[in-house]
Amino acid sequence: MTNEEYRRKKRNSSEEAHRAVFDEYFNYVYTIVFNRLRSCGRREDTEECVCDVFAEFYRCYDSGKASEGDISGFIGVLARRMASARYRRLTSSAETVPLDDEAFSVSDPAADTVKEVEGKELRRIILDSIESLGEPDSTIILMKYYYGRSAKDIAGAVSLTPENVRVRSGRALKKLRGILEKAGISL
Amino acid sequence: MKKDDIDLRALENADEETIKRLSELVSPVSEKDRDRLFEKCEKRIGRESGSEDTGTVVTGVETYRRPVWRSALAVAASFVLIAGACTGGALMLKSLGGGSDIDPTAATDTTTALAIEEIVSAAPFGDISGGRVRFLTPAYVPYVYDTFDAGTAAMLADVFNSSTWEELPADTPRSDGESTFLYVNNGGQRFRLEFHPDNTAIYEKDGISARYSVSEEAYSLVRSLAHPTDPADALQGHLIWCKMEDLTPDGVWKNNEAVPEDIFEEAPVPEELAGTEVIENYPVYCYDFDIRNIDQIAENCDDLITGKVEKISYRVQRSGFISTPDTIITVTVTGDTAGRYSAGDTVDIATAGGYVSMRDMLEGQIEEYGRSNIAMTDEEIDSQCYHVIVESGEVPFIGKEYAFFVADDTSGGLSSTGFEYGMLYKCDNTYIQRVVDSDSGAKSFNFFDMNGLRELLGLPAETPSDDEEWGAEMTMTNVTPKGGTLTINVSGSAAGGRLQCGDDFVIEALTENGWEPLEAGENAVFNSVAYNLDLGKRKETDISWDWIYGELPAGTYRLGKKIMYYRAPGGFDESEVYAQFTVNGDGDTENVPYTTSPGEKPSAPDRLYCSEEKDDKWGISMELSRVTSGSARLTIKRSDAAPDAVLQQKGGKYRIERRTADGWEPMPDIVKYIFPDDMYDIPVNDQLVFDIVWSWKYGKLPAGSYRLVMAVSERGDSGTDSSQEYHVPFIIMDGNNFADLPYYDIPGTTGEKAVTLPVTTDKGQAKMLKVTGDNGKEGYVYESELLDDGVTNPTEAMAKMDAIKNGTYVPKTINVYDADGVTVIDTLTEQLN
Repeated sequence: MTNEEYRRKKRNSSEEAHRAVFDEYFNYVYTIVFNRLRSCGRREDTEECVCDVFAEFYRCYDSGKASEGDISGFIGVLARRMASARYRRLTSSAETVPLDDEAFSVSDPAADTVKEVEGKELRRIILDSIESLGEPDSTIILMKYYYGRSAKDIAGAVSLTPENVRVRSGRALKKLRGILEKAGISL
Repeated sequence: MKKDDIDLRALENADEETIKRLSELVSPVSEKDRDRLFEKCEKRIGRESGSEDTGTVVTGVETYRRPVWRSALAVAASFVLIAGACTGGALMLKSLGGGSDIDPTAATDTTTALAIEEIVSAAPFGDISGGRVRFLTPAYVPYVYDTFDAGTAAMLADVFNSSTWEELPADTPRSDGESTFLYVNNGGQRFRLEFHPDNTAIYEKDGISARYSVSEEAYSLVRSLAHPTDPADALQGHLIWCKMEDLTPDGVWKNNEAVPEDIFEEAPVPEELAGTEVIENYPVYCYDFDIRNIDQIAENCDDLITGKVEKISYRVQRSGFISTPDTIITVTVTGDTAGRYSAGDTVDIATAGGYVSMRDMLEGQIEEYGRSNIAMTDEEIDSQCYHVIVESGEVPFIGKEYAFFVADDTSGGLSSTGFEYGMLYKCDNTYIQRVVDSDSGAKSFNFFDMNGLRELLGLPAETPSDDEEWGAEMTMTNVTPKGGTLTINVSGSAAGGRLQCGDDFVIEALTENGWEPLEAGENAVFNSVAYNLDLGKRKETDISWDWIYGELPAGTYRLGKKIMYYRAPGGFDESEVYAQFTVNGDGDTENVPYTTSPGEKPSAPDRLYCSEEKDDKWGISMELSRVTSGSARLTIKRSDAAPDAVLQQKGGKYRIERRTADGWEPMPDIVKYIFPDDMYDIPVNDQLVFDIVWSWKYGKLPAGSYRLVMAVSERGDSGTDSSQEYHVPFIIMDGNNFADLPYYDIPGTTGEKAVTLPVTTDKGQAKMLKVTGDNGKEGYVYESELLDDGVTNPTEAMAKMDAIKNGTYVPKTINVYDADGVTVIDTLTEQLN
């Protein structure tokens, strides 16, 4: 959605414009936020942060502070920044590591780049493998093992019974392991 | 990493490409949660800006929402699958199939419970986010201030829910300073909070009050909301008048319409005079009484008529050569204290003043004195008009309702007594008189209710209007521990309003302390719907409550529902209506009173019926229990007879057959149903339990012999399955009530009675006698078999007697059957005296 499209909708109704943006970008924003907070936050933290992102977006766009152009770039940056801020708040109680601690090491830019590329490749293989399971197994795997949803929640999304979801998730996991092992990956 | 888990941390802190792929692959949140989060975002925006789009503006008919029950879309299942281990653990599952797999009788079966985030509030009155609130301060008393914005309650709820509410001793001294009152109507629960500057609040409900210390945030929020400074929230258009004695937790909700800024408007220029020059004229009148005084108006009137203003027009009255205009207010009557007019009649009410053309004004003079006495050209005459202004010269709003004090005038019509001061604007249940000070021109308002006006006329007070008298009655029938049939009967009249109820209900149990509500399951949700209730008609609904409260044990209960009466836009009344019912306890299968004295009603036992197939190769047996005419519980048990076989049941598929004189015949379907393709595993040494409701498929079964047929299949390695059907015979006895079973005397006994069970066998309608078998089991024998001693002629009789004497007679043994007349449970051997 472009800024102009948003403004056109807003002339009819603020709520309609808000809802249109929300529907179009909710998955994207949620994924960004969850991806950042998965290791330290609860589901409520993710949801709070998602609401903060959209609320901030509406404020910026409704007050004319936002820039012109495509909304996705702006909202993506907003989501990442706010997720990072919340991550820092959630992990602020972590011990600071003294400089001479063995756990602390000076980062090597070159090694970081390699690590980044390797990480990206690993993620690609994992997602390719999950996608190759087909539906509804790929959804079940991601919702259960990535998003941590219950069988009941997943059942509603894939129109199966929770019992079926449990059975299928076990079978799908076994199959996924097989695919990943063939690619030389053990998770 | 466990075998049943996988580490996907590699996907964290992902690059943009991975993020986009993940967001496209799966939607991590349900539609319902998505809607909830959107509302949260909107409220967050509304709270901070204090303006625009903060929620629904409640000026029209309001859909009542109870804050405890959240809305969820529930899909009913035709059966409930319960997987149980032999140790007794059970996991409740529901079939959520779509399309043709959906059980069409959602009303008769359980609804799905979805996990909903429940709001836990620290406030002693719970969460008020779905309620309505009004404020009262000395600044605008006796008006109360209503923002007509659902976001206000939500905003307060957010703060109240997280505030500390510490109860203070009753004798804690109160602080000085102005109090701010907050009136809350939360799903029919009405209470008041009085906030003090020392951050304390008095919570009053049902005449009982308690004092709490609250957070400064809570106090500040209430104060700021009660004293709006933002132009968008200005008090104008948000103030509702209350009588002083109605400034109570309940009284403030009597009126639901804000007082308008004014109740009259400028008199419209008639179309035919548009474009003419208006000359204003202010005649001086002498009155026989004080036309501003409502008591004197009432004394001098003939009638009080209420009605909606349809039109404003003008007429000219001639008296000699003097012409004067009157304003004619055309009204559709809604009420008449004198009873001369009926609702719907149209009347014209005249009041002095208005527009008149110059030509009409001069007509009398021209006739009297001739045209030449008028020093104006025709053009000048036709280009001017008079606006005769009496008092303010303003008129009622077209389309609004007023109460008019009227008198019969000499022309046989009606005229307004007291001019505009005898016209009171109807604001919900309040009538507003505007008084304009003749010297300063300042406007003030007086407020009355209809009973107050009637009192002025010397009339008795009205009881709740005959036009709006309705009543609702509810009854529960077909009650089982899980549910029943609710019938709502609404009668009376509703004067153009409408009656509605929702899906929600509560159940209370009668205890020694009176009626006490049952504790509901935490995942209980109701559909957020409203059903119209037609006056004079019955609404019948099958209700299940076991998904909320579980199965009710024996006892006396009442089911309560709220019925809303929407009188007019912005206002509704609520009534709580109850249907009382009794749940009978489960019958004792050991003490089935099949032989009872006439007049004694035996209880409905929970009989257990077993499948006919014995020593099955797979070790499968089936039992039917909790049988009613419309449902039963089927338990499939599996032993370890064939531990390697993969046994499954497909989709809960079954059929019911009825025993007739010609054998077993399938019951005809009343609804075509396609069972789902789901395969349910039957584990070794375990069981599957189905709660089957067949009433939607076959209707309720009349009394008779039936059997339920269900197949179990074995999954073969080569892909071919083999299956076997199992048959569980059972009987239906007049809807499980034995009261009407015919008794008959047992032949050869003195007064002992037996019951004819509605068993049809290949022997026809059977008479069965209750006996105790050789092994102590209670069951039934066919009377025909019992009485058949094998003797058909005297010779055989002699032979039998000889055999008995010499000890060679072998006593006859007959089968003892279960109540279905088919299942053999014991034997009965002839006793030789």
